[in-house]
Amino acid sequence: MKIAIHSLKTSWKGILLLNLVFIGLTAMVIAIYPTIKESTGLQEYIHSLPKAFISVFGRSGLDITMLEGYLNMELYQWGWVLLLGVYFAFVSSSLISKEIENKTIDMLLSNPVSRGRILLEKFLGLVPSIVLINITTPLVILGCAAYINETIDATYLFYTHFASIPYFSAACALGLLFSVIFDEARRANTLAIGTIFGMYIIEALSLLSEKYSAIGKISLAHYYDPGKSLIEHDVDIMGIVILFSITAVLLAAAVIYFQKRDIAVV
Amino acid sequence: MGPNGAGKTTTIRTLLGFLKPTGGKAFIFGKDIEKEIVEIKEMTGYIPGELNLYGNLTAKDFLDYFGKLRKNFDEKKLKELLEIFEVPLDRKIKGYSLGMKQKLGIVQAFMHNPELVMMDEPTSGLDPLLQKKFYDFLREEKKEGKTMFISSHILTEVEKVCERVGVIKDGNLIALENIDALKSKKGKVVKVKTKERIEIEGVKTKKESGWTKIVVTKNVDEIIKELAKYTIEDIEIGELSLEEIFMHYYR
Repeated sequence: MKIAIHSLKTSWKGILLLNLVFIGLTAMVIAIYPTIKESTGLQEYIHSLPKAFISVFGRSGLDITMLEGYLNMELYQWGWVLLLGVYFAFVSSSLISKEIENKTIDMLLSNPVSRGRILLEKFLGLVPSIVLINITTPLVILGCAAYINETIDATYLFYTHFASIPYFSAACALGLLFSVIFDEARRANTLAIGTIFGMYIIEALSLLSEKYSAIGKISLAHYYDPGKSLIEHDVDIMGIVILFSITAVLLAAAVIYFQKRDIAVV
Repeated sequence: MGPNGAGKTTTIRTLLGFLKPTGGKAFIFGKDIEKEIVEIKEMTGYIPGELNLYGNLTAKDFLDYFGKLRKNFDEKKLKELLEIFEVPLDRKIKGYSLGMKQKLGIVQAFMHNPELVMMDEPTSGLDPLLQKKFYDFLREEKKEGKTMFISSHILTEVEKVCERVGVIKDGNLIALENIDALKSKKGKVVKVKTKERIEIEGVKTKKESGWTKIVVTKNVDEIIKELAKYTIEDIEIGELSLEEIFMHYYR
């Protein structure tokens, strides 16, 4: 666990910043909710938007008359599925590629640790940050909701956050796979961000018409829909199982690739 | 030892498991480098040719991190090492001078009392004073029974600590000799400028922009007498470089 702990120690500033940003963002989003709720014009406006827009920003309904529907649209669909997905894929895609780029990997590998262990510990080092943001944010939501006299079902709120853990795990595993393939962090970063973003768009497209519905299955976002649990109180166990399986497969692929590759002097 | 591009670094990186061998087998302490590399590294230290340490860490954090990755990390040894190779422990490594980094590189390679230390041209960035300190230290460590595995292309560097020298060229081990045997293969390079074309029986000459280059080993007297027959405009005599020793002896 030494590498995981070290990895966590060196990244705490980033984790803290991320949490502060989301605490601020969440509080701000909820603070303007009472005004939004009262403006009926906005409701009509949202419903008049093209279907493409709705599928990108509001899977599982755009009902902003209830706090859940509002949060789904204003925070979860893009903030969680897209933004945090991109963030975790980005962070993890640097983990090995940066060590190869900076050539610190030579020093690390001169220690009696296998490459598989290095990779798995780097992955484990990310888990606390995934869990933490999923604790601070719902707590802020509950606090702010109480402040503006709105109610939100705490059980399904926490479940919605819990279900994002396998989603972010898969995003991290994907980032790690890119990070062992590329010698330059920037290339791994770009590909990781692009893939998560691309998958988000694919999922949105798949909702547009029956014709495209099948292609959504290749997207990670397809297996995590915060709106479903938050608004419809629908618990998607299958999605969790699939995301954890994808995580395991991607991690295994990353370990195998990392073990086989040469660390050459560039 | 070997000239640049011979495969010295590649050999070390393969032995450490950074590169996969394209063929053959290698064993360290009787352990297969492809299967038991973790066990081997428990007993091994490494100083890379190009030191790249974690710039954002202080030396203290760096040594603490790496110490924890090793079962046989020796705190007492670390203290001893830091007395010989003093570095500012609380400063971030990115602010270190090259010499400080080199010292830190030495400290991390020895702080777990390894039985074998692999070094890839370890003195290339050391100033003469530090170099001497380093050699003195290596000799002391050697007395304790440690094995030093050093790559170099400078003979004078190698002869200070090494007993046996392997010579590699184009990725192949072409000679394995005692240091004394290698040192006896000394010689001179004689460069002369003459009007006539030089031809001495049984001696190879090489034309180089008006100069004739002759490698002289044991036949000094003979060659000087032969050369005396020509009209010499200019002459230069120098030590045989390692490169030339290779070219001459290990072709």
